[in-house]
Amino acid sequence: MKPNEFERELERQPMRRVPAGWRREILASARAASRPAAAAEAVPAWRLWLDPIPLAWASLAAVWAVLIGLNLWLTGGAGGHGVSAAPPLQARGLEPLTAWHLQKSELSLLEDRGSTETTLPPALPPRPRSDLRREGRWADGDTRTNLGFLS
Amino acid sequence: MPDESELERLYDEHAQALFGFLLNLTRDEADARDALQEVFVKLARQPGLLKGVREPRAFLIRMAHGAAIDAMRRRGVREKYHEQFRAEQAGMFAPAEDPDAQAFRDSVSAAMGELPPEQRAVLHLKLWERLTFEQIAEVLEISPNTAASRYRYGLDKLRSQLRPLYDEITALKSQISNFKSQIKGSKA
Repeated sequence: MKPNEFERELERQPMRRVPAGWRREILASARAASRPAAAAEAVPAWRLWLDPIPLAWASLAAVWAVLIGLNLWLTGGAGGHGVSAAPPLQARGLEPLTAWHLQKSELSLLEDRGSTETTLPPALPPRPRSDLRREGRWADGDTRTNLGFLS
Repeated sequence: MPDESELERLYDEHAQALFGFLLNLTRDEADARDALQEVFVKLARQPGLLKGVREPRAFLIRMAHGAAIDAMRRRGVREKYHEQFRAEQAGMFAPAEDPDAQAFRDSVSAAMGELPPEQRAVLHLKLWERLTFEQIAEVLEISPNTAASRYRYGLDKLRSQLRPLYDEITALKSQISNFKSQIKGSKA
């Protein structure tokens, strides 16, 4: 067998044809693959962020809506029951902790209005020493004065 | 994306050659299809890919070669994973009507399948794409000397494997042509 003859013989062997259906499929997938890139440019970033789990975001939004509605109903409902809304305690110049205690005592007074006429007013919590020192009461060693607000 | 008619033109001009190369290299029709699709998806996604390219066919074969290597790697992992090894190999030639010609094509296809992929790639590009060693070197990113030596080794292996069948077929062919000439002579 001559080398060139063998090569020529190999060259003469025709290759298999590309399956006919591939043309349509491959071109369609190529077109489809090129589309998302173009579409992504047009879609705003927030939508891309929300798109993967729309149900979860919708549920979260619904929960927030319910909470806001409930909150509005509760605050609006207090006015509707004939109880005049008191001004916020912090607006009266009270510290949050003191205000909380005051509110608590007011609540207990309201609850036990009939039966506990003799109930002592609730004790206010101790104030910080620095406040007392600022007022000059701690420095002169007057512990009675210090604790006076309890009585 | 190149416009649709441009993509179709590229497919019509080059898909056959790319398919032959991919099928020969991967020896698997599904892998050849995946690699061919990958080439056209890249072309669709990167509109300027062929701008300024002097030889689109060589450029596309280079892309196809990369895609085929990836496909073979994936298949290697897959087969290793599933412990499956395919014995059958995709026939790379068109079916022939003549049984002798068909037997020869089957034998060439099987013998090509036993070559290492790098020799197979060079043989294919030299024999069926008629590329020079310089062009093959450029496509496969090897030196022209490497391309030439891979071709020689590959061809020698093919020749040694196919020699008995080839000799038999050529002997038969010469017998047939002698017989025909005898008939012509007797008629004259």
